[in-house]
Amino acid sequence: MRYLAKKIIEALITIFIVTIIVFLAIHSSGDPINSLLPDSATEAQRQELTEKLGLDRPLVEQYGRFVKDALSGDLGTSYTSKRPVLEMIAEKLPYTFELALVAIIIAFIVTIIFGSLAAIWKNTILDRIILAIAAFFKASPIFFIAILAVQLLGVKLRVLPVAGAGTPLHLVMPAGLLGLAIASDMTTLLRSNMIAVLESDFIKFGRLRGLPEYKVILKHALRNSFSSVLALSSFIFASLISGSIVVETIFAWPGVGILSYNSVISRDFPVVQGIVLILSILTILLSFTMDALLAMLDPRIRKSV
Amino acid sequence: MKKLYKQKQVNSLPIVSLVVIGIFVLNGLFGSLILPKDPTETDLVNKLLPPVFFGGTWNYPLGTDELGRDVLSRIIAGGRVSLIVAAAAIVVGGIVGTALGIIAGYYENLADTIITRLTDASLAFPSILLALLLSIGIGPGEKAAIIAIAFAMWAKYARTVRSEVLIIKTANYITQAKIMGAGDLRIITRHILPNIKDMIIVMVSLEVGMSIISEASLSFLGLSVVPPTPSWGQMIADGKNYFQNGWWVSVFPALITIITVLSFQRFGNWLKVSKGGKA
Amino acid sequence: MNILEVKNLVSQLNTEDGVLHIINDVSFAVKEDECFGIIGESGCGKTMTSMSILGYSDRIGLKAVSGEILFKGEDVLKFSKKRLREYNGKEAAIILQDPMQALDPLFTIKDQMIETIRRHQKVSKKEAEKIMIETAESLSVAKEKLNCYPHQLSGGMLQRIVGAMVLSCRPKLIIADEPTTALDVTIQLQYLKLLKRLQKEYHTALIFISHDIKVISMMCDRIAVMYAGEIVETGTRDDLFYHPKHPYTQALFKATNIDGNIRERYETIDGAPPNLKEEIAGCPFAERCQYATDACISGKPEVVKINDEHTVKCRRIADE
Repeated sequence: MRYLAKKIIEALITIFIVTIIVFLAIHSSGDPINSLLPDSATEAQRQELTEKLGLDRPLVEQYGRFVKDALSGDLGTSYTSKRPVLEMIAEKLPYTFELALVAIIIAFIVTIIFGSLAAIWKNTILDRIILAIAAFFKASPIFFIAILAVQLLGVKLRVLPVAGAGTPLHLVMPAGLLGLAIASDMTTLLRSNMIAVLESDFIKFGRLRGLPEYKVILKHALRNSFSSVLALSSFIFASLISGSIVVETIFAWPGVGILSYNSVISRDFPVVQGIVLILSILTILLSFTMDALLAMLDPRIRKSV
Repeated sequence: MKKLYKQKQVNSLPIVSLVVIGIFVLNGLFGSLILPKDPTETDLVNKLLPPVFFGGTWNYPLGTDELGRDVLSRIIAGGRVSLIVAAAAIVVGGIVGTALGIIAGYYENLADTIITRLTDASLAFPSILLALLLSIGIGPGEKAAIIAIAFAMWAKYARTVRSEVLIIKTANYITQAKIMGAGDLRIITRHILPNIKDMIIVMVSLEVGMSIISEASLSFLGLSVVPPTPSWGQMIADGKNYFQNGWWVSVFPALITIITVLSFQRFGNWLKVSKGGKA
Repeated sequence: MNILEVKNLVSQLNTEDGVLHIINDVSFAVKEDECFGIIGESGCGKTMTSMSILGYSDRIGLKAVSGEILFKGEDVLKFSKKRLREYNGKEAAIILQDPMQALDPLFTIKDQMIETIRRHQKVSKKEAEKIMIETAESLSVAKEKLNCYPHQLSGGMLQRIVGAMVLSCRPKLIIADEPTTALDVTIQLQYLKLLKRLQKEYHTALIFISHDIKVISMMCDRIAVMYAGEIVETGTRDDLFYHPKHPYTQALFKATNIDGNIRERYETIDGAPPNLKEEIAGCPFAERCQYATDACISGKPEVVKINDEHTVKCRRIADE
């Protein structure tokens, strides 16, 4: 429990730091007035808007207002659609969440199966093939594989829809590709960890106690090697969110990624700011969940601190 | 006894990878001197011409894109962007990360707590989100890409360097140097830096590939260099709409990206093993 | 009755650098209820021999070229995977050197003990728990300790738990491979006494492997001396103690202070064990032996029987 408390505090601090990053990044952008008002605006109009937005106040005060507004659920209003940012994001977030969730499930399944197989049969042809595929996915821009997949499965074979959302079939390509992209890192990590674990004494002793091999692998080796993959969760989720923005753009998946892409094009910065804030908090919460899972798996973490 | 039956790892010098890396670097530095055509010059008469072995001519060895621009020239010019962004991001991220990692690991005080928190925060922060922010802030371009990638990278250096320094500083010769009255700066430059040098070189070589991919992703989303300056990610993005009648527009830059990144990975792994790490 | 007979075992390890001749024509027998010691310096093949007895050699890349390992008359080397899983733990078990590494850190002691018991005995969870508590008590492991995770316990406690885990399945043969080397000196003796007592109580054969003469002579009824993959001398404790025949045994016993009396001078053995990469034509000890002749270097010595229990592999004794 003390471990979880510590992790909660850490997550809160991280969110605090993120709000500062978001705030500063937006304020490094120069004068937002320019993008808000037409070039023909008079000096008086500019002055009025600056005061209205509080941009003439000291930075710390502006930050305070930003946090206060954010806490009360007010992330500002979109420049282009004039709708509340939170509402716009809330509309799109379930799609992104669905995509990310399915992708991470696929990534875990792929990692567990292929990481274990490669470790158990290390230095065999099977291992080499798995490693080569993982290296290929790591070295390939995910959007290019996506383009190829669209051409092959969508245009040539016509087995999968190429864009949009609605049916589970729409999820196959975006979530599959995103899952595989993250799995490439996790698989090699699980493999090398499991190889080390399989050489350890407790595996040897497990076998010499007469435990069946499936129990040695699935219960003892896998659990011990998987905790090191979970320990990297924050990093994994960061690439998951980054990747989902790219994937959504390609497959026209109506999630937050598309929204952010369009908002950047139209320089709609309250929306971008809101998305960045919410997605980073989402990432942090996801990694926190993984930390909790890790603590459930590993008594040494639970009892430490 | 264990050592006896552990198989020795073969670790031969990755010559092909080194050649690819060599070409990539030379192309980035001097590619502009050998450009067969102007990579930005459009020629709508000659749009979407196929590559030479697919019915095209030697005039456009890799074909032309939807605006009649020479794909080969654009790949050569785009390589420069990849090199500059990757190199700059690594220099910035590597230096900042290493410095903060040393400070955190060496002093283990309040600065350590703050740096560790910052490290965790930026590891959890999706790099594309920062690129989104920056593209609004300072506008899309090489600078935004470099900052976004460096930001995604510094934390890895900081975390690894910190844990390494924590181990190194307990070594006897460092205690000895302290007793002899050596100052912190001297201990860090004379004893700690040489000890983490290898590790940093390995990290750099492994991270170059990742930076190239990140840059391509940002270019693809229009968050890195803006047209007319060509970049690989942008070319792949352009080509995706013409794939049926002009697959070469996106396939060639993609292949080049993959080959370059694979070479850096291979080289990095070789370096890691030959410096005594695990593959 | 012999529970285990190793006959002319020859095993090799294939490495990238070539073949290593790890076990070279090893023969010995272990009786029911006895404690049999194998002594030798590190790298002489003791651990590899014990892995072979347990049928674990394939996993570490050790290949039996010839010979047999008979457990109750059945050749372990010919066991199927299924047979091997029954054999391991239920019939022959091992106590490893480092108890801190021997248990899975992610599961409680209880979980791992019950897992072992139920693997080999068709009992309910409740009955398994009963067996666990009984065995744990006989090794003076308190019940509360069973709910702990391995990292929460000391090395001495963990080694007793490993002992309990092994004994809970009542194997006929237990191999203890340097079981006290990783423990604090203060509790080593205590553990050895416990092991000895339980071996008698549970009527099991114990193969005790060590490089420490003091420990071996305290524990074992009969002892085999191993050198460079060969057993050079076998005999009862008294045979080897008072009438060591092989020059290596003599040197070994001289080099160590056996009975706690302070010796005037310690003798050391000059030289180093031979390289296992090459097949040795003659006696492996010849190079370091002060009595060695040309015949010792060129040809293998015969096994000489001194009495029913005492055998030695030395040309000099054969010639006498």
